[in-house]
Amino acid sequence: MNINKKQLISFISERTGMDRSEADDQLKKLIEHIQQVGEDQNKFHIEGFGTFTTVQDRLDFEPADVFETEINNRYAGMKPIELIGAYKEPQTGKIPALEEEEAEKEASHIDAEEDKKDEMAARSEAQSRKDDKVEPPEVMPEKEEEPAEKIVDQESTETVTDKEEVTASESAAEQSQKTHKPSGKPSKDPIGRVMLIILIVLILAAAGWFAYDFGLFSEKQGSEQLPAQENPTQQQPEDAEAAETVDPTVDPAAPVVNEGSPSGNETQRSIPAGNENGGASVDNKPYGLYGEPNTDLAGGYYTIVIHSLRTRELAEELAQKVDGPNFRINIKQVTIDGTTYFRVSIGQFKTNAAARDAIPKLPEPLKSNNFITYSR
Amino acid sequence: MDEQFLEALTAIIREQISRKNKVHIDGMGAFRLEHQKQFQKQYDNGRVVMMPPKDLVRFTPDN
Repeated sequence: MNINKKQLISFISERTGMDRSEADDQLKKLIEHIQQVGEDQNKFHIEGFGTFTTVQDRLDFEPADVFETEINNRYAGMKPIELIGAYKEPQTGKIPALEEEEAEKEASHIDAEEDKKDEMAARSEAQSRKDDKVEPPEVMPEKEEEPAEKIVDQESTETVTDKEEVTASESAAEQSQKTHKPSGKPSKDPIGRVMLIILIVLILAAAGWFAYDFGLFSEKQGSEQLPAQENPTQQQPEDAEAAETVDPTVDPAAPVVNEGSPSGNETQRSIPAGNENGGASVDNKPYGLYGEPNTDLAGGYYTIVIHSLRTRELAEELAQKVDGPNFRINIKQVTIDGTTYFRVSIGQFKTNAAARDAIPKLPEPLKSNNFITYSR
Repeated sequence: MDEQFLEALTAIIREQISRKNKVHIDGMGAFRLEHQKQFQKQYDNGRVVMMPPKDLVRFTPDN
């Protein structure tokens, strides 16, 4: 709705009770006074309404705070709210645009400078490479800087101070270093390689340890041992522990068993020592290496066991093969750990020492592969 | 012009302006109300604030 001068005068006359003509008069005075603001005075302030000023021959009105507050009563108490996380790019007004242009100019200028530096760095590198061929590499950096500075002097039409020269050469050197950096990248890889190698070694070590633990090696040992227990006669020539009187191929628990427990499963049998025995020298001494086996030895005796076999047939066969003058050969059945062995033994001795003394008299394969046991 | 007249005049203009009426005085200018909506404002440090809406008194002079 538009309120014009006429309506305004009627409102004023209503409010103040003065005539329309008088109100019109007053208003004309006011208008004149305000128009004078532009000519004589700078300001005309009306209390509770605002200030009239003239800016560049143009009347301007600044409302008073009371007026503003009265108008904005419906927005009373509203304050700026900060929006977190609502970053907006700065609005590009005229001045920012100018700034940006300037910044771009500067940036382009810097870029140009950097390009120059790059060129200088490249040239200096090229020159340094040339120098490399001739001179040792330690002299190279000094040689590298000098041409760079010269180029700066030649190329830059502007007057460049010494500091700038130094910084330019330094930056050139830095950039040359940067350009060298990519060649340094593979230096990171060796760490990875070393790690990989260490990992592989660890895995191999763990695998080997587990293999050892689960007995991949001990199986072989067992497979070596088992046949030895089954038919120890085949192993006899190989085991050459001459000084030992104990045969490793046969269970070493045998003498203990025989000594400790006079168990009844030992049946002593004697072989008629063969036809080839002359029998002439047979005196039937109670103990001895030669002659017929004496079955009446009450206190037991020590004997040299030369074979230990599973079957009696094998034992007798091997007993027949023993060549020597009238050996006193016995075949004895022994049960060790539930397994029955037939032991082919030679001689009957009163003491262990006597048996040991008799061993050298045996023929060669038997001499080095036997053990002494005690039996009754 | 006396005090009573100025008081009455300013009171009437304020009243009419707050009723969103435009008051035009020949030879001087026109007063009118202008609404400004809420808007986002960003400071130089990147802070973004939502400014509340407000009403403005605009004066356009006759010349």
